[in-house]
Amino acid sequence: MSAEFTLAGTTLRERTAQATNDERLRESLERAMGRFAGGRVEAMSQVDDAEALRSAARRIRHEILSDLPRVVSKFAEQAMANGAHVHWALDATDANRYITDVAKRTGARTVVKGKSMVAEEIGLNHVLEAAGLTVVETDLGEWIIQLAGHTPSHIIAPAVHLDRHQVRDILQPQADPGVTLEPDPEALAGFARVKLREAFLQADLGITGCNFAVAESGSIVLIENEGNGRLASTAPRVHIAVMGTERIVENFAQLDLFLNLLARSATGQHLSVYTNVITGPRRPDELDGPEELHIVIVDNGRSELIGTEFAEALNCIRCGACLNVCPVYRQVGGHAYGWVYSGPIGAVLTPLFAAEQEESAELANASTLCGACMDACPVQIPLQDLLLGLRRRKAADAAKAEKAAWRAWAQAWGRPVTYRASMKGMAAGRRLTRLVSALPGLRRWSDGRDVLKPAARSFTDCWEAGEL
Amino acid sequence: MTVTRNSLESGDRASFLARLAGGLVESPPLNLAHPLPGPLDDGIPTVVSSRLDPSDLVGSFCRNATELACTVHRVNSSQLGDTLAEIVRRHGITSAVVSIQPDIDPAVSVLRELGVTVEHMSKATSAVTSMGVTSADAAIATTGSVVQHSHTVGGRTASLLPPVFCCIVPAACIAPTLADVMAIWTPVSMPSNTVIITGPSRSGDIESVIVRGVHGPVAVELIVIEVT
Repeated sequence: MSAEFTLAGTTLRERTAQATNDERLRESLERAMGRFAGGRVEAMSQVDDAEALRSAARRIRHEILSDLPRVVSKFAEQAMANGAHVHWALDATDANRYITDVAKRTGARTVVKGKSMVAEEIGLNHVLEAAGLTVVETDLGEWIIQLAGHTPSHIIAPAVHLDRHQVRDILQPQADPGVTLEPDPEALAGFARVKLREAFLQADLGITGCNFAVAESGSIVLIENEGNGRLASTAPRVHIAVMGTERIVENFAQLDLFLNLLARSATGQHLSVYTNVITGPRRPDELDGPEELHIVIVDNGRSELIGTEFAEALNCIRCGACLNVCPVYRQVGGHAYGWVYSGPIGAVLTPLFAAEQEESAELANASTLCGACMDACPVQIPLQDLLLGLRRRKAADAAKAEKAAWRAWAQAWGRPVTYRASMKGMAAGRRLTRLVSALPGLRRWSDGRDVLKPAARSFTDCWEAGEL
Repeated sequence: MTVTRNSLESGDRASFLARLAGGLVESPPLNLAHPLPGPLDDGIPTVVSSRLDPSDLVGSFCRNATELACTVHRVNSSQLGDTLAEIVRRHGITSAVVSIQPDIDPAVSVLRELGVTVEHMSKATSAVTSMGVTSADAAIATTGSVVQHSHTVGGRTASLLPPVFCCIVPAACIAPTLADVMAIWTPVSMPSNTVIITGPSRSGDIESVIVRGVHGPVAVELIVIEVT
């Protein structure tokens, strides 16, 4: 069965504590993050005026979102003119029901899946498995974590939390009896190629995400390095592409800019290995390709962000650059965020998309607000501003007890008599500070911090006694 | 806005679009800390990369493709036979699938002379052969990429399923940038599949170590043919 996200029922503190105590995880993160972040800097340094490109990308994303009903309609009309099926899914249940119905109607038993964050978001694998289908993730990293029962820990590198020895142990049970796998990335990838090729050729249904959808042509664009997206959209008889409604661009000129920015920002490549522009199902004069193409356009809470201070979160093109530079992500990895999206963009999207889970709100605290994320973002999402906005919103909802405490403090320190009394009280309570770390409720706070000790006598007392 | 329904459409389009439009009634609050950039009066800026030497498109293409771990053969048309023979020998090729492009015919003749079994691509044939051979519809100098349209190539699997992909790239089809390639696409009549291939299949999913040939071809052989 597919893995469950840990957000519900756990706290950020518990999840980060688990991550920071895991030395292997920290080594894996250190190794990968340096490479990703370095690759981006080098690739961006080879284009003229990268700042102007990022700034233009932000503007274009804004203009698209400001005109989204027209642009998404144009896309859908053109996609249908190309022979693709289009389904408008208001929420996760709607999307999952449609996809399951297509799977049943086409008699599918095995589904090969390309990596898709929106499919993770709507919990598609759980629904398909409950309907009796076998779902095989085919991105190498996704396959590894599916076998391990893990959730993705990075937007573009889902198994970044594992080292080669852990991967070997996860894949070993898939090998034939008597075959021992070596902890060597090349050998392990070669093993995956053979195993997954069987799945591709047998599967009846391929499901992929969609990096961009081009309104003027009705095309969906899939970007990948391995070829599993190409296989999932080519080998089975039916291909379903799932896309968040914000994946839209107006035309190929805009697509060019985003393709250039995405590859460089994600992995430091100048273009990803495979850029697939898919415009309808196989045509009569073609020798291969799927007979049916279904495009599922998913809202699932996105429309609620439009027009709000958080609208720019929808500009994200899912490159992962903000994760790679984030001082929090680099220490704790993706699982500490507890849900689909991690890093700074995850800290923004989780409280917005998973708002019904009350544990999601504190994700806005998983940031130092240093702004490295915005500096790395290819579409200049002001992530630190969005995080601050979420914190403000959370503070407005803060518990009444906290508000009452602040009110009492303001009243006490607002008048000299009560101020002095409070200072005397504090000095008297000096000896109690040792107890702070022993109290269960306060230990959580005092762990890792030195408790401040009030002076034995206050400044005012010393002044009045003429000692100063 | 015209709302048409046909057998290809499902779900509640009206509600879907109404929700999107509902949010647009009011503009998002201004971000004073990081204000939104102004309109692009000069259009979308061009991506200019130092990896392109505009005076040497073929050289730039060959250099960038080589850097991606493609094997690049820069030859004239009379050398096609020898080049293919070397590729066939080096990879131990016994069978190949080919595209339906007319300019692939000389290569097909050479392969048959070399004793290689040649068939048109299909899911079944591509899955069991050791090499796919196609021509390029376009190529990109800045990134070392080749572009294939399914309606001219005849399909998708020749460049995808066999472990070796051999692409014949007429030097004249090399454009400077991705933007130049896309500028001539006709949006309302795109083929069912256009793929831009930039090097052999790769993955960095295990310890960020780059491994080639994860699902797609392990080796990409590019034969760049210059007219002399």
